[in-house]
Parts: sequence; structure tokens; C-alpha cells
Amino acid sequence: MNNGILIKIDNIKAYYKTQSFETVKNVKAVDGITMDIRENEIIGIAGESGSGKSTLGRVIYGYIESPLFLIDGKISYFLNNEEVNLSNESYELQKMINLRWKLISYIPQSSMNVLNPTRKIYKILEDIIESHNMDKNTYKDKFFGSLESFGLNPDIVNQYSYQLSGGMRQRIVIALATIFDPKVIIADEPTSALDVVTQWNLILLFKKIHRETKNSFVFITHDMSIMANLADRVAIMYGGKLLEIGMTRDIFENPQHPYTKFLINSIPQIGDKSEKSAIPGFAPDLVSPPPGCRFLPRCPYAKKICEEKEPSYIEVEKDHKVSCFLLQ
Amino acid sequence: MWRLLRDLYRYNKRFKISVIIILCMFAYMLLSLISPYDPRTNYVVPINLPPSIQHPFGTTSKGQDIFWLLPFALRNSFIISLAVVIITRIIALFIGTIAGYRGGIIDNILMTVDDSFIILPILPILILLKLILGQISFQSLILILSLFGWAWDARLVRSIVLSLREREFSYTSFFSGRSILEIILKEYLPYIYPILLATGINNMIWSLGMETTISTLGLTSIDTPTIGTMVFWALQHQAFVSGIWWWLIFPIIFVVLLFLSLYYISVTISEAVDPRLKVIGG
Amino acid sequence: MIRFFIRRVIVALLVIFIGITIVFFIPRAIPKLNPVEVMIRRLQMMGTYLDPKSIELMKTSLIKLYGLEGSIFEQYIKFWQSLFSGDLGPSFSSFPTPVIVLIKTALPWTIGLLATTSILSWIIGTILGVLAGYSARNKLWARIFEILANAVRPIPYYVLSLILLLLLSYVLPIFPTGGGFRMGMKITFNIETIITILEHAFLPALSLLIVGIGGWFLNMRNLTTLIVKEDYVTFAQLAKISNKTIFKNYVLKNALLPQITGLALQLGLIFNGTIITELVFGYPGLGTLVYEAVNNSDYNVVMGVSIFSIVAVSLGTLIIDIISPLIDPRVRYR
Repeated sequence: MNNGILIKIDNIKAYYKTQSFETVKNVKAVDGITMDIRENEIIGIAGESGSGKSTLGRVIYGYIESPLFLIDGKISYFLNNEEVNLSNESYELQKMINLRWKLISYIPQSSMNVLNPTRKIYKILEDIIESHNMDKNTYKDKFFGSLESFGLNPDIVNQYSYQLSGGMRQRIVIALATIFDPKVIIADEPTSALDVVTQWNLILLFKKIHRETKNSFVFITHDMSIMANLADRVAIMYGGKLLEIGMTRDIFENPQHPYTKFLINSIPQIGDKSEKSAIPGFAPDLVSPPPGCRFLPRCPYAKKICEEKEPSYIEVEKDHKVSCFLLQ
Repeated sequence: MWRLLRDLYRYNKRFKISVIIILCMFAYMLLSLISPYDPRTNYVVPINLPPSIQHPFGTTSKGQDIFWLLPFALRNSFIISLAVVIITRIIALFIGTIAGYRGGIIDNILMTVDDSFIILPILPILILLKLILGQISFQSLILILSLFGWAWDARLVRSIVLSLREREFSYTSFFSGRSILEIILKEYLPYIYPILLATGINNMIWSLGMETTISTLGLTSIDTPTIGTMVFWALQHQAFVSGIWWWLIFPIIFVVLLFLSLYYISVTISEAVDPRLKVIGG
Repeated sequence: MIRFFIRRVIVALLVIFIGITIVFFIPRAIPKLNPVEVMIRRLQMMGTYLDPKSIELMKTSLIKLYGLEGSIFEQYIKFWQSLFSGDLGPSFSSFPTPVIVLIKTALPWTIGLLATTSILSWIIGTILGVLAGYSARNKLWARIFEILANAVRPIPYYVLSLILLLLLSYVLPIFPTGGGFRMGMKITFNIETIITILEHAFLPALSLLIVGIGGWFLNMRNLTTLIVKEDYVTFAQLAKISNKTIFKNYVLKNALLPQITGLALQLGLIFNGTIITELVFGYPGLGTLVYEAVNNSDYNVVMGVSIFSIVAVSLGTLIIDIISPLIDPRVRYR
């Protein structure tokens, strides 16, 4: 263990390559991200659609397959006794894959469709348990226990996924993802397709798991209010870049980056009668992003230097970093 | 859509070759307009001559020059299948949209009829027709092929309409007062006609194949030259036993080329229309 | 699900009913095909002299024989009655051999050809297809096979059979040109018979196999490629479920159902194709039987074979439709 850091992400760049006839396009979804995932924390990755946050989630999990390519940078995993690295040079992908599900797991975005429609739930459970050479009975019981604590009747394991509602499927997938008590769980927009009541229940669920197992969650969402209620730290992504990262409280009480300020102001609050404003402009083009700061086209405080160079990170207060020329 | 075709032509070798082959066939078919021989006449040239400069593809046992007979054959076969394709597109569109839009009992009835036509084997019916009519005229053939050719595609159209109907823009159009006919024509059609086009080419391959097969069996009007009837006559005169291979080979080569080119065009178009863009790497 | 079955059964029965009714009405609607007239004409053509009285007698017995007595309605009922007792009437050109006997003689040949080639080609095509779509995706053999299968795909049965016939019977005289067995040979159960039968069956079977394997291969490969991209397969891979399990239970299982449904839908076409192939090779099955009947205006045989094929194809499709819920649970609970 590397003083409390479980995963170290170092200037990672991952692009999607697409080809239509002769034109090759690189979608620079993750364009130089540096951050760490620490022990016993819930860290949220926030951003709008097209900011690259889902891709970052995939990359952290090592799910890098065509058309996604790892261009540069390195991820180091400190989840067991050895340091496992993921980069273009090191061929440790297999070692990273061996960490999967037991030490790190992933809840994909459309949990609706991730369960095999022609296989009963308990069979899918068995597939996972057997493939990891674990004891069937122990983990079956554990799974049933999880289901119950999620408010589900364990009998549903005899059904097929399409017979269950979205919320039920979601909870099953979460139960599957937590079955081996991994140290890190990456959840990609697990609440987005659900109604608010189910969303709230899910958040409570995540908190419960975190409390009981003391694991770390990487929570990817565009909903800032969920961040406020759930995350210990928040990272703000935009246009493939990390704009601001810090403790939740600091971010919400003392946002530094103009974009962060917009995001936080957009959350409606009871009793607040002020007008809400939308951020002008559109999401950035990830294929040919402008030089300089990614947020420039929509930033009301743009300066000349913002067009030319990308700002570097400044530590504004303890554990609160921003990338913006306003503070330099 | 033209841009897509143009791009396909420029970058996709298979498409390009297939289009060139088809265009050459069209050019060859046009030769029929300047043919020195009337295709329905026999014994205008010496029989059973192998390919030579005077008769590039040889002559038949009925005294016809194959080189000048083939354009008519190709042309007629093509026209027949084209007619079938057009008619089946119209029927499939009509039935598919009605079934998809109306739903309920009408849908059930139409789909039951549709299923029946999919299952019904066409060959016995054709053979029966031959008995009734003596020879199946090409008009009748077109009618029967059209009757059997719409069922599959009507289902496709119906499923598209079903999904479109639930989308928001349908409700918006409907509530703002557009008549159902208008909705179908103006809003749905752009989604439907790419499918009709893609399946249209498949349908053409199928009807060409059926025409060839039926005519080869002698069930149609054997005096009209088509690929199928040419093969029929060749077999009747025991062409390969007598060693007159050119009578059989040339029609077969041409029709196989035609099939392959049409097939590759349909395959490459559907690959390109697929929203998943081509991706580098394996 | 019950509704699903009912609808399927109705469709099968409807097809049979309509098909048979059409077949019933045709000779009674077209005077030229009136079997009695045809018979009389034929006898006269053969030079037999018949005085008017004998003609009348003959007509009466013929009318009885061909079920043309009574009003249309009575005939219709009798028609169905005789159908249920398996009587399809006598053949005209091979009078008085009953049509059912002719069919029974030809049937084993057709079934032998049809059953073996369609089952074999489905199995081989499906196995190769799923491999080409999943584990052997970029291997050379998969790509070559794909090109070959695509080349064969658009070519109709008849053309392919002709090409095979030309190549392997004339150009390279390896195989016999036609028939099911050597002329005049007695069919007994010995090695020589079996070899001859196989020899004669090889080319027709090959033709059907090529088309069959090509088609099923492409179908299964495309299905597999689509399924591999599905979310649940990706998830299984992310959860590190073993490759063997994924292949068997996530990919294969989900691809099999549409493949089986494909078999049901193609049954009519496969049947047509077999008959056509038989014709090219003069193989003594239903195809040759019905073709000769057409040339002899033997309506009863044509009618018999038509009824038979309509019933066979409908029932075959129905059976496959009924089996499908056993394989795919999604259909069960629709």
C-alpha cells in the first residue's frame, strides 16, 4: 500500500479512433488526467455529457479495447502486494485483469442490459463465482444476504433479467459487483436511468456498503446534487481534462473554476428564489479541441493567455487543485 | 444518399467493381437495340458454330447468334425482376405501414396472412399454374412472384413503423393535427425507404433467380429470350452432350456475374448504412 | 404464450386449408383439365376406337373415380374425406396406379436427400459460423470461408447444380450424370447398391450442401458478431467470467434461437431447392415425379405432390416454432 493511495493515475491519455472511408478521427476523450484514488473514500467524477468521464471510468478499470486506445500515461494499482502498472509499454494488462472483480469491480452505465437475457440470475451468479474459483456456498449466501439488505427478495434469483424492473436489475448488478468485497468499485452513472425515489435508495445503499466494507467508490455522474450527498472528494471533468479536484465541502463552499461555479449554482435549493442561468455555448469538440484552455469558448472571464496555453495545476488550499489562469 | 454512393464508389473496391460490372451489363443490354437479328427468329445463322470472330459467343442449335441473343435475354430477365421488385416494394410498404400503424385486429389479421405467405411453398403453385395456363406468360410470372415476394419485407416495414409510432415526434405530429396519411408520407417514409432499397436489391436477386429457374424448367413462355429460356433450349438440345458448351456457358457466366455484382452492391450498401463506423484495429 | 401457439397453429392450418382448396378448385374450374376429358382424349390419341356407348360408360366410371360426382359441395366434402383416408386418387398417366403409391416410391429419395443435407449443412454452417464470429474471428480460414460463402450465396440452386453437373460429370467424368441408381439395377441391401446410391446422390447432395453451409455460416457469423457487441457479453468479460462459459452460455445460446427460427422460415425455400436440384440430376424423388407429371398433364400427381408439400412444409415450420420456446426463455414468457 502506497500511503493510502490505491490507484495512481499519471497523465493518462486515451483516444477513440474512428474511420469513415479515408478520414481517420481521434476523439480525445481522456486527454492527460492525473489524480489518485485513495483508501476508504468515495470520489465523484462530475461533468457533462461528452466530457469523457465514462471513458475515464473505463480506462481506470483497464477496459481499453478498440476503438479505444491508450495513447500515453500510466496507471499504477496498489491493490494487493505488488504494484501493477498499466501503460503502453508495460505488458501487465494480464496482471491487471487478474485483479478484476476480486480487488476492483465495475458497474457499467446501462445496467439495464448487462444481465444475460437467456440466463437465470442464479446462473449468472454461479458463472462469476466459478470463474473466480471461489467457494460456491459461501458466496451464494453472501449474495442472498446482499439482496436482502438491498430490499430484494432472494427468490428473484430464479427469474430472468427481463422479468425484473430497472431498479431491481440495478441492485442485482450492484450485488454482483460487490460480491468479493473489492477495494475499489467504479460505478458509471448508476442512478441516471432511475426515478428519484429509487435514486435516493441507491445512494443510501452505496453509503451502507462503504460504511460496512470501508472500500473506495469511484462515482461517475453528471448530477451535482448526488455528489453533494455522497462523495468525499469531487473531480470536475471537462473536454477530456480535469479542471478542479478537491474535498466535497471545499468544492461546494469555495469553488474556484468558473465552470465549477456554474455547476454548483445550477443545483436548485429549497427557498432559493434566484434565477438560474445555463452555461452558454456547447460541449467542446473532442476531435479537434482548441489550443489553450478547453473551457475558453464558454468562459465569461477569458483572458488572452487562455487562448494560447493550457493552465497547469495550482493547489489553492489543502488538497484542492484547480487548473485555471484566473488564479495564476 | 448520393454522397454515400459516391464515397462507396471511391473507396470500396468491391462496390466499385460490382457497379462497373453492372454498368457493363447495361451497356451490353443496350446492344439489343441495334441487333441485326430478331431474337424470335430461328435459323438465321449456321448452327452449332463455336465462338469465332464472326460469332463471338458461337451459335445455337436453333441457328441463333449467341452474342446478339444474350442482350435480349439479359434485358428481359432484368425487366421482369425489376417489375417484381417495384411491385413488391409498393405492397410491402402499404401492408407494413397499415399493420404497424393500426395495430390491433387489423395487424393480427394482416400478419397472419403475411406468415401464411412466408410459409407457402411457391414451387407447387407455379407448377399448378403451368398446368392451368399451358405456359406461364411473363405477366403472370411477374404477378405470382410479386405475390410471394412482399411478405418478408412487409414485416420489416411494420416493425419500423411500430417503433416510429411510439416516438415523440409521432405524437407531436398527430396532436398538431396532421392527418395519418401525411404523417406516414412525410415523417415515416425517410426512415422506411432505405430499408426498402436494401431489401429491394435482395428481392431482385431472388426474383432473377426464380425467373431463371422457372424458365429453365420450361414453365414459361419459351419463345421469349431470357437467361432461363436460353438455358432451357440448350438443355433441350442436349447441349453438353453434343459438345456445344458455349450455348450454356455464356448465359451462365453472365447471370452469375449479375448475381454476384448485385449481391456485393447490396452487402456494401448495408455495411455502409450501418451506424457503426468502421474502426481501425482488430 | 398460449396465444403465440394458437396463432401459429392457426397459420399452419390456414395455409394447409387454403392451399388444398385452391388445388381442389383448379381442375373443376378449368375445363381443359377435366380429367375425364383428358383421359378420353388420351385414349383416342392412342388410336383406340371407342363407340359412343362405351365412352358414356367410361365417363361415368371415370367421374366416379375422380370424385367428380355430385355438386361441387358434395365433391368438396368427399375430397376431404378421401384425403383423411390417405387416398389421393389415381394417376392419369400411370393409370391405375394410385398417386399415393407413386409418392411413396419417390418420397424416400427426396427425404433422404433433404433431411441429410439440410441437417448436415445447418450443423456445419452453424458451428463454423459461431467460431468465425467469436473465437476465430481473424483467422485466415474464417476470412476465406466468408468470401466463398458470399460468392455462393446469391446463386440459385438450379444454376449451381448445373455448374456442378458440368464440372464434375462432363468436364471431369467422375460422377454419373443422373438418376438415383443405375438403370435396370435391382435394389437390394448390399454394398454394391449402397455404393451406387451414394455415387448418384453425391452431386445433388453436394449442391445442396454448398448452398446450405454457405448460407447458415454467414447467418450464424453475422448473428454472433452482433451478439458479441451486446452489453451483457461485455459485462461478462469485465466480470472476468471464463471464456468457455461466455462462449457457451452467453454467445452461443443467444445466437442459436434466431438461427433455429431461420431454419423454420427457410424450410419452404429448402424444400423448393431440393426439388429443383432433383430435377437437374434426374434424381428419382418428388421433383422428377412432379416434373414428368406436368409434362404429361397428369393433374392428380401434381395435385398430390402439391398437397403433400404444402402440408409437409406447414407442419415442419409449426414443429420448429413449437420447439423454439424450449430453447429461448424469452419466447416462453412473451
